[in-house]
Amino acid sequence: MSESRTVDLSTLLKSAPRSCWLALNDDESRIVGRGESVAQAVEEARKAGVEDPVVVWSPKTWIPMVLEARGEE
Amino acid sequence: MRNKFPYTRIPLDPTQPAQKEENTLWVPILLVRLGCLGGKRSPRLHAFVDSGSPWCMFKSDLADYLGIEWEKGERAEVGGILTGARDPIYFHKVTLFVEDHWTFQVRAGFVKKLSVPGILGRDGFFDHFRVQFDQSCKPPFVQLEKVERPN
Repeated sequence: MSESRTVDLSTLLKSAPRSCWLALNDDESRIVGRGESVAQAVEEARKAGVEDPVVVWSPKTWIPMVLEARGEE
Repeated sequence: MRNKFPYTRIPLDPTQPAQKEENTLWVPILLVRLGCLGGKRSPRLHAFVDSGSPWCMFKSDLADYLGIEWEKGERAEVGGILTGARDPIYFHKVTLFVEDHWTFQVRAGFVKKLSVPGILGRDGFFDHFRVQFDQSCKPPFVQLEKVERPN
């Protein structure tokens, strides 16, 4: 069994812009781009020298979520 | 090959007295990419491992990035356990790349109002892995064992 690193984004994301996409560097320690679309966030990251960023959605409010979804097919 | 993934710690805004001093939350997140028929791939994104979801779902912005005409997909409707919010979901076949270790085809739904980038649900994710959550330690972790099955 192998184990990957722990990622603590609580400080970084708390003060980050909201209601937008954020691009993070490879170890998710820095915000290197943002945008209304994924493409804008990625483009900013690449301009900052990060070719393969990690993208996250920054919501208006960080609240506990119950993620169970109920669908009707 | 890594198969044990610590949870990710995210912030909580101090909106409710019941939270007390809890201003962070550990959540089971994996890094995934989506790929489409034309070969374009998304950047890596945060996807929540959620056995409560019947499907894999992603924000429709990701379909826009891939050039998928997502509103032309098979339509259904999705809601949460809380009464109220519902939104259309449109299904497409995409390639799912999980932590750059595993790749397979899934039927994924795209939703405009999804509040997270992606959700890895029962159909498309949990039918490809034996999944173990361990919250008895800090940080908690999720452990994956791939189950080989035909697509």
